Amino acid sequence: MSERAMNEHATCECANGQVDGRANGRPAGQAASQTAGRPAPQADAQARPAAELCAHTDAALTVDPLNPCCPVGMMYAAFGVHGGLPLSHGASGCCRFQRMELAKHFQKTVHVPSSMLRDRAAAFGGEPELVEAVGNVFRLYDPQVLVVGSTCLSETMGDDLDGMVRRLDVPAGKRVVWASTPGYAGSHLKGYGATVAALIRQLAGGAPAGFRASAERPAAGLGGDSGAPAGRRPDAIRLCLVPGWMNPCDVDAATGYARAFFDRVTVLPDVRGVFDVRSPGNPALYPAGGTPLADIEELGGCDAALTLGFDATHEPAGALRALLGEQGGPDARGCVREGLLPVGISTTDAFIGALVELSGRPAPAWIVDEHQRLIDCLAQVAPNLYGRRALICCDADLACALAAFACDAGMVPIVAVGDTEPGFERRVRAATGRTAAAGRPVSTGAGVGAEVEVLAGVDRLTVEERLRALAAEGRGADIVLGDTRNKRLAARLGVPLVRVGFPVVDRPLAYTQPVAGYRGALDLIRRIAEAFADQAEAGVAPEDLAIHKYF
Amino acid sequence: MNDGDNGRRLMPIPGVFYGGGCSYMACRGLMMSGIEDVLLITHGPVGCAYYAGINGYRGTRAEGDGGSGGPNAPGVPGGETRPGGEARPRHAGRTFVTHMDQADIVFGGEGKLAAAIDEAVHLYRPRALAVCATCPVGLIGDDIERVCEEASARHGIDVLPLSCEGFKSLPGWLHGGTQILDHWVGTQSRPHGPFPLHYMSESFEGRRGRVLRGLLERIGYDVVCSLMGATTYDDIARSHEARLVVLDTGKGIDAVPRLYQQRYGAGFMRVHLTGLGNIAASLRAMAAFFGDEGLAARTEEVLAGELSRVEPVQQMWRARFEGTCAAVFEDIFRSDDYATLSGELGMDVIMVAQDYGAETYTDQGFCVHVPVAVADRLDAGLRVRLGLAVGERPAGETGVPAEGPAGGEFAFAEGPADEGGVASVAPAAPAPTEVAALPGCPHVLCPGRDARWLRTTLGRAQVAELLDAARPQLAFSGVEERFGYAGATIRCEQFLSDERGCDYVGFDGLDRYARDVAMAADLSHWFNERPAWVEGSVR
Repeated sequence: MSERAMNEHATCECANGQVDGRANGRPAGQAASQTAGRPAPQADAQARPAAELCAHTDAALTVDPLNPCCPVGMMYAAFGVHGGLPLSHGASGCCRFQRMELAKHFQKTVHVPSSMLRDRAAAFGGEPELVEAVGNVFRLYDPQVLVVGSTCLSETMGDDLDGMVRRLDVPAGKRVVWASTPGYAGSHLKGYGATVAALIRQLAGGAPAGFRASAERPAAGLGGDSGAPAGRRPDAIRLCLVPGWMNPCDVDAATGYARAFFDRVTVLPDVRGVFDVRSPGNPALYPAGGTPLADIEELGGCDAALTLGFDATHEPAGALRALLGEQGGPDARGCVREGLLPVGISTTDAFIGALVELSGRPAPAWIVDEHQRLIDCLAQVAPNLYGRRALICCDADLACALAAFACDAGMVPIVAVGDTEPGFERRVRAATGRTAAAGRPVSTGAGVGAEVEVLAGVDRLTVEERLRALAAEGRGADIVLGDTRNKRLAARLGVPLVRVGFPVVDRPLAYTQPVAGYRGALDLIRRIAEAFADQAEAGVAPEDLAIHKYF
Repeated sequence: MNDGDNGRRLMPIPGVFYGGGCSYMACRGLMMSGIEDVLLITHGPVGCAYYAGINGYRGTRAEGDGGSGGPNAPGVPGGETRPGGEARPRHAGRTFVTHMDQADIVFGGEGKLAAAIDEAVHLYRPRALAVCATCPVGLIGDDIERVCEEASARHGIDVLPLSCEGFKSLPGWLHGGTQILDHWVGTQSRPHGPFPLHYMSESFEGRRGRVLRGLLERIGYDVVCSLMGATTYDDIARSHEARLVVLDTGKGIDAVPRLYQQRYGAGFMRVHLTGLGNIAASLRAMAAFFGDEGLAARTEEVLAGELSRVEPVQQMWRARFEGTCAAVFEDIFRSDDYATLSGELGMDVIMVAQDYGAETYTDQGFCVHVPVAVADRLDAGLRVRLGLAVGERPAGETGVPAEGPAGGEFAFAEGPADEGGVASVAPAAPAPTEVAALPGCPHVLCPGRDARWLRTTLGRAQVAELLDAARPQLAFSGVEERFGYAGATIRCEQFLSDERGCDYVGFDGLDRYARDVAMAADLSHWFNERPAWVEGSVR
């Protein structure tokens, strides 16, 4: 009997209850909705408020939380600026916990300074510590851009970071950006988004000289030959790409596609050449990667912007709308597009579709070829994947894309995430629905997408118990896709874990394995099929092992 | 804050990279996480518990047995066997948190905590509970003592409140240790062997812990408790019966064993079971404490057996690494271990240490130990500039070893605060002192090797100059980071990242360390050499 089932508030009775599955214009089938854990509002217009469905959702105890907290997102984003250094305004341990999570994922030293707030500051405010910290940081480590992020402590104390940062004495040519990232406000994605938005709002204020006037800015189809306003230069169009929370190799994949359409692509933040290279020994030297400050300052000069994900990028998308709207007039608002992480087939298709639309340029043949190769490979492994049930348990943005990916491959996703922004279930159902790029039906069989199950705002014990209940009905998960902390869950369920997302801290070099783009999707399909094959052969007597069963 | 670790500590200065944690980390991680049957609830937002909950089951019960290898395994003199088939605690390997959100921060989290305790008891029926507070809890005024007291009355088990909010200056390990002693220690009793020992160490867990326990039991000790390592509520409740508390850790948490000393009259000493010389000295000191001839004889017997077992291994590695120059900067964890083990492989070890007398960050006043053999190789002018001139070495001050680990404070050389500046030519560098041991490494066991050091105080630029001239082949992370030294030819993330722990405890630790150095040496050519065509390549 499952652990929580012993509780009188036993396992969800309503897992098969009817939900408003018509939100996406199709029958609900066996779709179910749950919310448990904290009272984070999951209610949205289309997916019925989950709290109505499940009485036990008010559990006070979280067992095995699914996500880390905001400030680690602040750090990841801040390091994505060239010469960027995060500064944690809080107690020393919180900074250490968070930087260690990055250090373990990337298997390298990650130093982050802290303002080291203690009792005195907790009582009287942390401005003296912040002033001292900023002074020391510039003297010792000489960052180009210092990103000060708040923590549970400094936010609860009520420190006014905006005012404090304004009063700082900042060396000439250096910039200090601040972001509100208390640990109780959401997941690491939220902190990432808040920080990227802060970078845009606080650094990209003014358009540089020589930037084209608003009249020159087309609403869409920048590089195309139809309806181009007079005076613009379709030969030099520029995109701002906000890649969301991905590993450097995946940011690279996304950027590679974007470069095929735009003459200039500013990736913000750009963790390439930062987390995938060894840190310079001297802490005052910074790796070659990261978005240059000058590029951020010139963001207003972008013709279009594309953000990937939602939890991590919705706030930056808003900041970009404000920026490009101000810079370019009302027409430019349409130039900021939000899409899912390009992980999987239909999501990458949609990503390419967005690039085509924004740039007004046709897709080059090599992208078509990559797409086709992936489809061919999918056809090869389809018998190994079709109808298998995948628990997807990782950060909300990746989970949304992976849910679509599972449907792409004919698998049935069970999606579970912890803290996320309202509307997660709606986003998953939209992603696994019938339409993707350019209104083209995705290759999802109606029966596959209809079975998607979504658990938002839950802990891992809830996931485990839901999976046990499903298994009892013969609908348990066959595989888990997610970060390392799923390993005990997967072991308890007796199914393989394919490691994706952040943090993967128990397999060397996992951060170099791509999942984004068509090649990433191919790699992921291969890893899933391989995991099934390994599982099928585990424990089989040597003479019983078939040589030819798997290609 | 750190009275036992020779006065050396990490300096928490705002804005300066810091390897230390906070009160919560020290309390939850160091003091509480090894207690296998106590369910820990973190009261706070999600992050702290998420990050802290990385350890798997570290306890004493191997999979599928009822306690073999456990603290009271059969064969321990006077020990009782655990009730057969007793399984691991059902909450093992799980993380518990109240997951406070914005509303809890605004309206208070006491109700949520009380409900969480109820749910945890209901789900897992733990032997006892403990509640660790995180930063916001103290600020918003949640009274966790009252909540825990009421929960304890409700459920009839101990619920220990730990006010270890991360910002608190009161160290978390001290708060945790004090709470454990105030509330749990001394509440139970059991028969024990003639030499009951409390082995307090993080390394006393898992497989390594079992090896250490086997070693101690062969000598005749009865390890009744191992706070910080894998231990249990019941062991802690009986831990006052240990006659000797030994502390084996790089962390300065002596105040906790001292509580046992004050309250129960137990003996206390620091020991160190990493490095052959340290192990020998530690085991002998422990036997001397009990003053039993049989125990002393068994100690020597076990020592002789183990040392002769590892001697061929040590000889083999010494043949390869003798005379290699290594540099450690002490601002990394376990650098004493690196220095000791390097010494036991016959290396010349340059040790650089922050002058911890200074309360603010400074580029001056690094306490530097240079092997005489290395100093003699340096250019004469440089020796004078760096205060390493042999001719100026004060006679009569030679051969004064630093005090042992169980002894008192290690006093750094008095460095002139102003004169030893970075920019100055430093014509009047202080005369060096000659010592026979590095601070923190008094028991290097390397037979037949004469090792002496010159101790001096240098500014940062002088340290960099020294490193450039001495060109150590092996350098640990602090050396490269703080002094910009890039001349090490034996390169490895294992040593260049201070986030990689080093686990070289026990007699076989030397072999593991030597293997790591060999790995570094054998693969370093990838860092030190590049194909000819890289030069002139186009980016």
